[in-house]
Amino acid sequence: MIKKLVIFFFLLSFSFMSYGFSFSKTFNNIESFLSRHNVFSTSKEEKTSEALEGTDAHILVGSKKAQLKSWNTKNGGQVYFVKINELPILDVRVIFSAGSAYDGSKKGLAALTNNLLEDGAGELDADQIAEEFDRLGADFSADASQDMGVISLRCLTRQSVLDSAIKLMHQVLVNPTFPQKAFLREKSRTLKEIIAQKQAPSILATQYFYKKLYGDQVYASPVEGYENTVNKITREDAIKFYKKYYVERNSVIVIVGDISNDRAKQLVDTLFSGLPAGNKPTPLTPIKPKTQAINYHFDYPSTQSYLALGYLGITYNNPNYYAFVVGNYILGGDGLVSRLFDAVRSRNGLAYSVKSQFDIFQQQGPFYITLQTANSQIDEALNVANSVLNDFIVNGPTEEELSNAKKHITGSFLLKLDSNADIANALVISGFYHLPLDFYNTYCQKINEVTSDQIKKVFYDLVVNQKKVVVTVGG
Amino acid sequence: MCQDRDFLRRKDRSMFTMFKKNLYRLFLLLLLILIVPLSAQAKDVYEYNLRNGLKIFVKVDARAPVVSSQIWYEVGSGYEPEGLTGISHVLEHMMFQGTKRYPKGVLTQLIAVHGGVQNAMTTRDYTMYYEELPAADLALSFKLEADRMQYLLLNQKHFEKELEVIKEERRLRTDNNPIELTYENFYNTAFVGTPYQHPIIGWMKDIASFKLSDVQKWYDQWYVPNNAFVVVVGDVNPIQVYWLAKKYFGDIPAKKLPTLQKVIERKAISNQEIIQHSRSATPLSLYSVFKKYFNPEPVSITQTEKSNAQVQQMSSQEVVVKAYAKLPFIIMGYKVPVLNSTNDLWQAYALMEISAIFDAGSSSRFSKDLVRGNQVAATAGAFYPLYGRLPDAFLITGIPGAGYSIDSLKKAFLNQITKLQTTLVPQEELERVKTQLIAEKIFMRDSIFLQGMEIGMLESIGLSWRNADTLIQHIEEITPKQIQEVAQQYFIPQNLTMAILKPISTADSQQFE
Repeated sequence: MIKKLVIFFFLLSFSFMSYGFSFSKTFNNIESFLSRHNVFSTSKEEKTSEALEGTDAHILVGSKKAQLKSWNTKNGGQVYFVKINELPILDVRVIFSAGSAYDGSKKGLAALTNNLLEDGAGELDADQIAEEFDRLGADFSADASQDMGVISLRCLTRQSVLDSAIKLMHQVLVNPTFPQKAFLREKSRTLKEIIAQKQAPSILATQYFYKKLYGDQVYASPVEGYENTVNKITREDAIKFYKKYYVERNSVIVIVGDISNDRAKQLVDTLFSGLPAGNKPTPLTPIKPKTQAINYHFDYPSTQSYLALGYLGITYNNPNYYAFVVGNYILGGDGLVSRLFDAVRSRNGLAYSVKSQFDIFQQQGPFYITLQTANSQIDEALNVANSVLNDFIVNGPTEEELSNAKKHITGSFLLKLDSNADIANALVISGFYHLPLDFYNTYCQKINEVTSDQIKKVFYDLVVNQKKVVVTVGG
Repeated sequence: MCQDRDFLRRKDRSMFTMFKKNLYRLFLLLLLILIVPLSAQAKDVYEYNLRNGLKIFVKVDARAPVVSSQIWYEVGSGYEPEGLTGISHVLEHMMFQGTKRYPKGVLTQLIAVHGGVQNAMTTRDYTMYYEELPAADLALSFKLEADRMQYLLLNQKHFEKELEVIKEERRLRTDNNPIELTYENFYNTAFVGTPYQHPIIGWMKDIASFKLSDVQKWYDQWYVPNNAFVVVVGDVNPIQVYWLAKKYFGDIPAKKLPTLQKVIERKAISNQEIIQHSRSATPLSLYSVFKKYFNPEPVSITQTEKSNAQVQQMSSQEVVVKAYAKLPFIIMGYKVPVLNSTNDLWQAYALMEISAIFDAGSSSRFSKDLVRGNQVAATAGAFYPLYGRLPDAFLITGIPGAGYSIDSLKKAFLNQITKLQTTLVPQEELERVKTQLIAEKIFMRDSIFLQGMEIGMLESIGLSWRNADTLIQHIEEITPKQIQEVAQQYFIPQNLTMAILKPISTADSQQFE
């Protein structure tokens, strides 16, 4: 329903003619990732009736503190619980290391498996599951990405409602039935989705970029897979994937909202009761960089050309992580003040949307620049983008740029955790990628420690030690 | 409650005479007068009016020390005559190109270094600019918005560059997006001769032909305090917000707005009704606030340059969009009233409920019957613009499932409509819809931005924000019989326009320019 609300607002105005970038925040972008980790504080302290084993920490919003409790379940699931009592709602996310990185040769398997969970559980079919969640006013969804397979619930905290919703979520998690009819239908819909992507040149550009950058390594393929690989996936494949990856030892649970410590513990116990302990998956192998530069053009009948240009990027535990964050903001981060925005759009009028970003995963995600421009201008736009990047890695940012960037990143850090949803997303990232519990509390301080020289060096090293991949889609 | 500052002052003076020896008591009394509104429930919205017509809406949400500050101008693509389509959107872009005091780049940098994010949007009914900032920096937002409301610098060179950006935006959003092209053709066909015909971004030929003087004129006409209002949601004190707004916006002079002319669709040209609607520069009285709340007035538009070629639609009509695409797509739109255009408000609420019955949640009829059931749809959706400014279309959209044609999907949608017209919706289904709406409303409190949007969308079309709070109650009052009636009245061939995307291969691709 939340999706409906968002769509409602979107369509109500029919289309956003926003000056800057698109309305929905891109989770992949470093900036918005960081913005998810806003620390939030509640004004009253809760008297805990029972101490949970595990770690007590807090999360800061401005100067206020919110309780953050983390503990492990019996079979190694990691729980992160932030108690916020501003609204009578609860967000629960159960995350498994079950993304498309684990597809193997069956590209699209992870996403399809994840899609199917709500299509049948225990004795209930898809209609009954849907009706029950809707009857409770609960928002249930399942999503898969490159690294993660997630099931999410947003629900009111009223006891009867929440208990019923958790009970149903438990069924979906522990007893999915993958009915044959639903399997065939979801497979068919996935194929349609893959075909639909082929009429979206922006998406095609990013997909080809990933493919060229990663070759036959993980992250090369789209999360949805390819037509020919999805066609071959069987119901047994999905069941096998589920049994292997949707296990307690492979899980992270995030809970944000207005319940007591007791209830949070009960909730987790309920959710996992009956789920096999299982094993963690084999770690992904590190990515090998390209040995040759790539320039790839895909012909497409559009009046615009779509550019994706870049390299392998970083992981969260990169020692220069904060320098990359600040540097990317200056170069082409989400906003109206970056070098790329200024050069490509503001001064030259070449594109509406131009940015740089780091997509961050368990192994190296990409660092890349994207833009779209009329076909006749693609060479010019490519030149401008390249010269902005080259200038940046050779000369680094100015002191003024550095100072402004720090002010923005630290200043907006506080404002970007103003919702339960943001906090939940933040904990998903920090939980799944094993970031320290005080990651958000020390974030601003670490940002302020970054220097211009550091930024110049890390970007220079990244670019100069790799072969560039350039993809264009268009006429 | 409407906070009329002048009213409060008059009261103070008489109080002072009575208690002039006891300042402490006076202080307490003043506090009481001020606290009375503040003691209202947290989710109330405080309304203030400046003498120049600018209204301010403040909603307190002290979860985090942040604020969403929005300024809404009551002008959008639905105000544009032929030849000037897209001008509101162009002006939106130009609003970031600098003023005398804050040259190009300074405004965006100022917001950024204060830890803020900003953007803007143009729609058919309004143009809105917003900043999200630490609450302590609200004044900065007001300062910048007040400044560019009056002193925008329109520079030829910046303008020419920005036009190129807008052309790229159009290419990105529409020209190379077959779904968007289908929507564009739908409105172009369904609403010919009316303000909703052309796209918000405008036709490419109009965008390419704009002169700086067009933008200047549009700015001078519409960006005035009596045509705007401010919405603030966050960790703020309403009275302080009022004083801040008064400080920055208070001295901006009101201006007479262009006369708007109502155009009634589907009547013979000679019966065209003309209603003058000019905004007063004086603060709204309590009466006019309540009048607006109970009797929404349709706002009208001038169409003097249009040929007014409106004909009554006698049967369903169809436009086929041939564009490079991989999947067919259909839009079926029925012309319907909106909350703002009808005195039978219940009809609008019933239509809202129908859109939820069709498409809210995974248990809705489209998901259950069409996507999961016989799989005639790969995707299926329904949308009703409850808070539109002018009569609009109830949209039903979809992509056929594997092995099915557009025709089959169309028939399936028509069957759904027939079912609605002939069989009463079970109470249990209505209960589910209601529960979802209630939950949604609570979930929305998780976003100060969305709370602000809710206020703004209503006020920008002349309806009170209170209508958002009464939505659920009104939905609850709709009976199954009323749903049936509304479906029978509006989902008829004479109201139907269809836009169908027929994918063509590269060889047949059209060029758009």
